Amino acid sequence: MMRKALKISLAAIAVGTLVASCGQSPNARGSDDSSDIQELVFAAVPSEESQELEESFAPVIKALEKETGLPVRFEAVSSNAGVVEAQVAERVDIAVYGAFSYYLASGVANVTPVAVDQRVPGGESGVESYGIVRSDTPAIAGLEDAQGKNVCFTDPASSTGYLSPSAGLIEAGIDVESDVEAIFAGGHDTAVTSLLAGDCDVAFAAATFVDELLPARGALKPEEVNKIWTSPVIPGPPVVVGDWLPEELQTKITTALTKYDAVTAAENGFCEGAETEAPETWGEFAGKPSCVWGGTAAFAFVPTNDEAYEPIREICEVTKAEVCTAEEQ
Amino acid sequence: MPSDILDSPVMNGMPVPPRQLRPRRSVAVGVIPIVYVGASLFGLWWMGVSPSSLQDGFGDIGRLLSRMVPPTTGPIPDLLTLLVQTLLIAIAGTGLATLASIPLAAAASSRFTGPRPLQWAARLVIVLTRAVPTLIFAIIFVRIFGLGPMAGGLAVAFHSVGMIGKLMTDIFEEQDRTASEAVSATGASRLRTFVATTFSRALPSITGVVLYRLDINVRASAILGIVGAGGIGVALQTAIGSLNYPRAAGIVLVIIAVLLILEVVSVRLQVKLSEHARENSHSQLFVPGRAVHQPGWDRARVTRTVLGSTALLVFIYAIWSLEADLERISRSLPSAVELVAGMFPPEFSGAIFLGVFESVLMAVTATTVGVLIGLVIAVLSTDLLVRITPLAVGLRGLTVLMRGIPDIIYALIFVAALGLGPFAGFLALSISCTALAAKFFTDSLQNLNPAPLKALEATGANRLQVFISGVWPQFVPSFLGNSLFTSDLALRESAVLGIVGAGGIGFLLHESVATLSYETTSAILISLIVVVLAIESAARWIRSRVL
Repeated sequence: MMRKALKISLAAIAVGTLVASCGQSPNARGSDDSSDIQELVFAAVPSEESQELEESFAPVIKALEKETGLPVRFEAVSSNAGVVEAQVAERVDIAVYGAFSYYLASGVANVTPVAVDQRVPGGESGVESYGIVRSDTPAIAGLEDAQGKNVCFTDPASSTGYLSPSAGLIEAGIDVESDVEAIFAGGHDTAVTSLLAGDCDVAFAAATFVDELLPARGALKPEEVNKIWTSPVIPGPPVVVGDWLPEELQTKITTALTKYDAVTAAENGFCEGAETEAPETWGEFAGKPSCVWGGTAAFAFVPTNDEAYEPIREICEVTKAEVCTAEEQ
Repeated sequence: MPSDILDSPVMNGMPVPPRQLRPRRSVAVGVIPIVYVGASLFGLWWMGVSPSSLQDGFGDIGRLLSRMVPPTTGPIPDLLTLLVQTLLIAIAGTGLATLASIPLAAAASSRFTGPRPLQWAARLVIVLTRAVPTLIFAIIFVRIFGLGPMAGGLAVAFHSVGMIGKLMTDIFEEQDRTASEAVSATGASRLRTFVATTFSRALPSITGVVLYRLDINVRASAILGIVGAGGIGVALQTAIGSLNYPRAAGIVLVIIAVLLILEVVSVRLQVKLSEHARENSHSQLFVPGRAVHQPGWDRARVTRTVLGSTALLVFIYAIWSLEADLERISRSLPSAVELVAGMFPPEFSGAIFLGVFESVLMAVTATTVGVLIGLVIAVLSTDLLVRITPLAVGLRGLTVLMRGIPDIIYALIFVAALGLGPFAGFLALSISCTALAAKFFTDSLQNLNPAPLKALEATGANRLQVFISGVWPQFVPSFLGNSLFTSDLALRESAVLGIVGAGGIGFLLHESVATLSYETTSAILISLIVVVLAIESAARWIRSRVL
């Protein structure tokens, strides 16, 4: 018995050390010296619409690897704080997150937005959010009627789920702090399902959730809710690049992102075997083989800059929301 | 049966001569830690842990911490309201879980003499509830019962059954059988025997477990707000999500303060409740120096009754505060059915297996680190080997401080400092495993039977000799049991850390729930359950070897 135990133990140690001593681990970190960049780290935070985050960014990664000549490691993270902190520490070179997260990140990390998704060829980029009520509560026809009611938001750090709706409420003469009972549902889907369940009288959620995602899941029938408010277009989730990268490399990254679109990416074989048919809304490109391009399955990325995110600053000024004032520097 | 007596544990029972235990023990005692060490070495390689990568991160950790000072709390009344709600959720959940655990643990224990299928069913319930993280239960219950504390309380209750039930089972199994054999020999029914011997003698240990789970639950409830299940998590999540670190630090400090108070209360209660703490820890039936039967009210009995009924009142108030709406519950049944139906068929994929594998690796490696450091802390904070009271008190405070900060906050700090990936998650887990192991080990060291120690001391043995011959052999069963328990607790924690980019299955789990891909969620849950079951069977096998 004792001997057997000894053998097993020795084998376990041997395997451990053997494996550990040869070869690089899949998670080994590159050198910290930025003049000698071995690898780019690309992190994405799922925005409201994302599904299959890693898969949808695979063609984008291939384009980046081709144009920069560097291997690109993809990290999917569901907390914006995780990615922003990693950027503060200059450990994430390229990232995609929501507009409000960019607004927050711009205060603490040296980053610049370089590209944003464009849903249809030549179209606007950006997202909208809806204020909805159950169709059996006709008494609430507009945001003004939300006075004293239970209102479901998603979470306080979401531009579509909280910031923009609070700006809308303030414009309708309602103070979010004192005039309504604010409930944070935690997610866009929960905000809607909580509305349906009767936990709140009004709910705010990103348009795609109400229009596509929840109906496709069978969690919402279009006739169950009435839209009482649509937000102004909020800038879409930007691709943000670290300023610490050599300028030449930053340019290469921007080029890689904007040079291709979903259709030309497919032509270049960035998503071989996973091509999908371009949707009707893409006009002349409809029906062509295309890649799922980025987290929102957009048509292309178009250049953007810091100014495009001015609307978020304005919303922050209107709402004086507490979440906006964190760590003013 | 004489063999039963020989096999019976030394913790609560009669000390068994060591020579009869040695040969059977050595195998498991030797193999398991070494397998863990081997797996940990592989884990360290997999996660790319190196001294240089650690060193690189120090500056970044410092910079992040400096952004947390000075901590602020925001409007105090709001915070207090949320805090009280968090506490009530934790109390209601823990209480419900305790009530459910008593029959479950009694049935699951190997001493159970009833129908086998009932025993298996009880074990299954315990394992299943333990495998599913509280946060996932909360998401499910929010869908079913709506937003608010009720979903939170039930989530805490369901998940806690797994731990309380498991530890209670262990407590029942560790007991010396002679007493219950004696009582059942008088013709008492199974229930009577159980209440009179097993349960009554287990009560002090059970109280310890419940109080400990309560403080885990306070922390668990503190993050439930993320998914809308009430409590202080909303404030914490908002602070972190909006990068308001001073506020986050302030909220965490408040949580730590509450946990410290809870720790003090818990230690005092344990002393009050266990008539046989330290001095007469082996048998409650035959308490030396006191009449076995003492009719009427003595001080101890009054104290116990008062404490007991206070706890009961608080629990009832907590339940009431969950605002359970029966009409709402009956209405929500269809949505529950829909949700569960959406989970089938589970959709497995390579990414899931890789993620679960990484989570397991993180958990095992962190456990090894945590158990080693935790053992040192435990030995230093009990008076068995080292008798420096300020050191013991300081270390106890430190472990509470370490446990007060939710893993996810540690993970966030390490992600910032060391980059995304399992390394950050591993470090975060190591800290919580250390704190957990230290707590478990300290508690069980304090509950040791002092008789052999006294005997050894009387022979003039020095402290090290007393520790090696008197303490260690007694301590080994609970050392192994608690270590394994730490590792399976670590596994569940590591399954959630991916949310902040700290590796493992967490990200996929969170993403699948957020995008309503319940087929993926269920596949991940099934994988986690299988892993927890595997660890569970390993643990059972070891217990059968050691005890």
